[in-house]
Amino acid sequence: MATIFNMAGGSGGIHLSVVGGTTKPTSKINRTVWIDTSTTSLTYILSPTRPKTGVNGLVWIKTADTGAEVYAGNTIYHLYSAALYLNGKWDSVVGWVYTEKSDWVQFSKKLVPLEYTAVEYLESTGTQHIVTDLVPTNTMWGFEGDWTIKNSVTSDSSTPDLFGLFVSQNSYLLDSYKGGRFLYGSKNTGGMHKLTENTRQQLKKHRTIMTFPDDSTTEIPGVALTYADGVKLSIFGSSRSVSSSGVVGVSDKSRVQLYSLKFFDEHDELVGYFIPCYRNSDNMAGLWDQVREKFYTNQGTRTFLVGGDIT
Amino acid sequence: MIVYVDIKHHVYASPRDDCAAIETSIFEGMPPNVIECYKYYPADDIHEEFAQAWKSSDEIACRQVLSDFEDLTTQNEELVDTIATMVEDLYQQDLEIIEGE
Repeated sequence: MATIFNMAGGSGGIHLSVVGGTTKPTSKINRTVWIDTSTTSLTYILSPTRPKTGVNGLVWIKTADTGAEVYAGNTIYHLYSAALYLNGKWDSVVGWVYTEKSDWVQFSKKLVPLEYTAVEYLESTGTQHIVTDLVPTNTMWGFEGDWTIKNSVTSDSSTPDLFGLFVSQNSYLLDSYKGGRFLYGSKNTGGMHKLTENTRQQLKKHRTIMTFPDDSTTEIPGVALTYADGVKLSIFGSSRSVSSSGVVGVSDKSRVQLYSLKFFDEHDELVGYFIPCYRNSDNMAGLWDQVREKFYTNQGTRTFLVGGDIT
Repeated sequence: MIVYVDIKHHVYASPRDDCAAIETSIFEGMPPNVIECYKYYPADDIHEEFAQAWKSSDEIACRQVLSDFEDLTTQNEELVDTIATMVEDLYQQDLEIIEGE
């Protein structure tokens, strides 16, 4: 255990006790930060931006406008995330903070396991796709997508799909046709037409409410969905069929930089959280699902491009 | 398509003395100024083919917009030339008709 006072973090009067270990400390001391790591000798820095260089055992605790609240006198600090510098690189880590006011609060989650490196985005060029293990049971299933669409969103001759499935007239599909539309149930179209190309945008849907990048909303009715065995939702395209051997047929593939994609069931429970990354052992690019703890790779052709490493 | 890769894996769309020419489909459809935002690592016995951005996503987006603008400017110039040719052809046809009368 090491208690390190932040002298160089630029945050003045806050003192944290940063502890490394694989189990949460049993003692409850105000402003203790526990980092889930086998490295026990830790130093730390508090900063909204990542230090340009690091030393082994240095924990960067990112501060932001939101996050776990820690009080120092009349000042409130928000701990947003944590990363540990080891062997020449930063890696996101699980971090908890104890305060007398809030007890233990988790403020940092590990994006991907050590065997992978998280990247800013995964980019498809119109030939790649990923088949997930998700099967929506109701159009109330929600999502939170963060992406830059690279294909045209004004063409009415092609309909590249960001994700979805459309089998036996049961649809749960988001495409980029004329600014984007959400297809749900049997031939129902939730018009939105508010997506643009070459601009990073976020689109959310929770249960029946879709929230557009301009923060306006629309209501999508809940419709039950039923699929034959083996049908699964795809990303970067849409699932249209499944063979007798279980191979999912995917079409209408899109050109997209995907930053992250979450799915929620009809109860608004997180059922999929896909994080762009690559496998360190062979540089295979893909999506890590934090819910299933499973790595999904390209099942189409060519190769995904990736953005820069992130923690 | 052929790209050119230097010793630090930076990609170039045009030939350079210090670069190896490599054939790959990974950058198909991307403008040259965007391709040059990436590092490229060819596949070997252990590793998959790998292309990773070394410029920020904001910079890449700016370059994409610039490339799209240049494409539209070129298309516009071609359309203006085509229209000018059509106008000239019509003028010559009118002249021939007038001279024939």
